[in-house]
Amino acid sequence: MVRRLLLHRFVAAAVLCAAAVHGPARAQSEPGVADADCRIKAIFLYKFVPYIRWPADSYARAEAPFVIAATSAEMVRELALVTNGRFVDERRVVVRHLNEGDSLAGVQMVFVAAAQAARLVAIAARTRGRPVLIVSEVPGALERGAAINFTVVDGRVRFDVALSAAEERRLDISSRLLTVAQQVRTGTM
Amino acid sequence: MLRALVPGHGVVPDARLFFLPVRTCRPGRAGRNARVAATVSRTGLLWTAPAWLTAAHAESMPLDHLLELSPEHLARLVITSASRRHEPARGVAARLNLEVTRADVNRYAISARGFNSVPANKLFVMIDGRTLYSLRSAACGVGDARGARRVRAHGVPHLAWRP
Repeated sequence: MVRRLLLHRFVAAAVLCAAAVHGPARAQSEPGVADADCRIKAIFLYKFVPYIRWPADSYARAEAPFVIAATSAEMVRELALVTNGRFVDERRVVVRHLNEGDSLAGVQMVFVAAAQAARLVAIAARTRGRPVLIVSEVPGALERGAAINFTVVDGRVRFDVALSAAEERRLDISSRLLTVAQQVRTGTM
Repeated sequence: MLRALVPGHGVVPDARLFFLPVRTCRPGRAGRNARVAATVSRTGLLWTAPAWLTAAHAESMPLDHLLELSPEHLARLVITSASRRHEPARGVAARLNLEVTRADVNRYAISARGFNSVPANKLFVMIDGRTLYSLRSAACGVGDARGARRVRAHGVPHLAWRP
């Protein structure tokens, strides 16, 4: 019985030691949840491009870069990492931070982060009819002009697509991408 | 000294305590399996996910690997919540909830998921194919197994016993 009690004490000590040694180290080595979330979304944005056809007149010059504008600094940072030195459709990818009032000329894709969701309607209105893909991450973004909206379902980053919004902007979204989408809205909003 | 040999993760040195939030995990259910890199399957043997699924946690994947994934794969990646972070099984808190404790010079207490004591007999432990527990009592004596190369415990990963 005494031995058993000692054993339990030893077990309790081992628990404390393990917690003390490994607790802080783990917290430092792993990025936060928001980071992973943002990174996956950034990769999605980059991966969307080959599945979407922009009309020829969306580029001012033949050698113009593919411009992605994002409203949050975090997404700009992630996008810069993701697209660093990469090309899409034989075009250099340029990532730009979109501040309030910045010009949207020459931009092919806009990401409106949740923190700046209030700017979504204005950005959609300013680019109306132009081949600009608006991607957001807030519930109801598709009703406010976004063509693609990220959602986190069961710990996974998924996205909804509003085909009508894309068609209005003359963007042709591949059916392969639509099969990955969680929800595809086709009707007029 | 007893060590836990976790397939795919090498030897876990000085196995003392591991915690595994018990989730039953059926091989073949990729979606569910992707959540835990290594866990104990219903058959009682440790099931390690293939490399791709092991890395199905966005946090643990390097950017280059993530960039190689198609949108289909990206949509399946799990973003672990703050309360449920992925940890590699080679860490001490590898959450295997395996308890290997030396009681005295020739007796060990081996158990999983708590209730460990010398007479604990809820875990079937074998050394070189022979059961570790004596028929008269549940005490787990390994003294006569000196030189054994392989200790196997059902319900926990293989144990490699190094005399």
